[in-house]
Amino acid sequence: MTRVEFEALRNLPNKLIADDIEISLKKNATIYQSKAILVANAQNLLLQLNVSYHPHVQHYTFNFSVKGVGPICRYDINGAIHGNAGRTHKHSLQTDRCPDLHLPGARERKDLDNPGQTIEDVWKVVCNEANLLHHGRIVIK
Amino acid sequence: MAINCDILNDLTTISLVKSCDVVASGAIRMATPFTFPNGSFIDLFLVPSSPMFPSYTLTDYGYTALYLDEIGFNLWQTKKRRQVIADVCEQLDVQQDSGQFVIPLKDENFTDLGLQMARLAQACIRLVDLSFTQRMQNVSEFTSAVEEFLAVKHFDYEPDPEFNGKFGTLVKLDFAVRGRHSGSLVQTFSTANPTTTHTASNEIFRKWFDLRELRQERFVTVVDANAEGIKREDLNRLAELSTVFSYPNEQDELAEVLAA
Repeated sequence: MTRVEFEALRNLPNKLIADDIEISLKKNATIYQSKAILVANAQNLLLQLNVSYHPHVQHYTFNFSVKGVGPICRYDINGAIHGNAGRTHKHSLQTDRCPDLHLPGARERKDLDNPGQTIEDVWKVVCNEANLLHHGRIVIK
Repeated sequence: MAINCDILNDLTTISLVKSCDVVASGAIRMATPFTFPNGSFIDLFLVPSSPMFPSYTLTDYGYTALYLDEIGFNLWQTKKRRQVIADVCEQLDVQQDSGQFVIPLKDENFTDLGLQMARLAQACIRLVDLSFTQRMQNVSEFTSAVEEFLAVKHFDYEPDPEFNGKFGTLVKLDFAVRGRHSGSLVQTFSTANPTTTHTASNEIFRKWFDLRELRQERFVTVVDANAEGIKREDLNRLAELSTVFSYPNEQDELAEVLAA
């Protein structure tokens, strides 16, 4: 996927997640994770979202990937430090090699690291930036 | 400046803690200078094991597995992967616990905490590198992955063989493999778009149908275990004319058949 194709997908309006996003702890796991959630889109690409939440660290990620391509965009809130982008940053596809390299580029997003903010607060920003409609809630089980 | 053995220790001493903070659980989070392949610094955590006595567990807190999950690689999915994980852990004296890789620390470990951190970080990096053996694949990458499997197993194979089919059409396959006593014709089956899987399956069925009275080799269909939308009835139809294997889940069985 090229940067142009990524931007076209990002800008595509009315991408949709129709159901609740459930994040749960699998047996013998430490980090809460969602299943792959299909994001309906007019290009009919297999665009999916995976959400993770680490309660001990208060770190969560929203990871968008395309089947057959790999990860194309990821919001990391209070995660591992990435370059000069700090612990809260956004990765996005810059070249067609980026999915293979698990999105090496990242931009700091201090605006997403506010005291008292919730995962829902960040999700609203993600939806807005991704032109994504979510008809449901985030449910941590 | 001339470098010699005497001064090397001073020149090569680095801190393994780039930054340090305390997270919600009370664990100490340490950003190390080691990185995952995408450039993220590897965090290691010191989790207090007991409020009564000063003992800790050094852990990756599940982040190695999460990194891999985000690229569609399930670390414990196959028996082979689980064996590799066990080998790495044994070699580096690291334990597995609830999806984490850990080193329990005793008092005597505290003075060489740096060594424990280096061992655990090395384990995390080695395990993450498993993903290079099988990335999230598109169709052509799946065929490449199967070819890699054939090469690693030292099979005698020829890529892209072509044969004349029953109805005058040319049938192109992915591989012709020579076993000990017989040959196999191999066609891979993967798809990035679930709306086209039925068509792709029918095309593979057509290939086997056109060759079935003309070739003596075993027909083998290798299906991408990570592809979505492949219907059970399509696989059953393919099984009427070929032996179907899911890859990588059934790679051992596939190897056995191809070697025969």
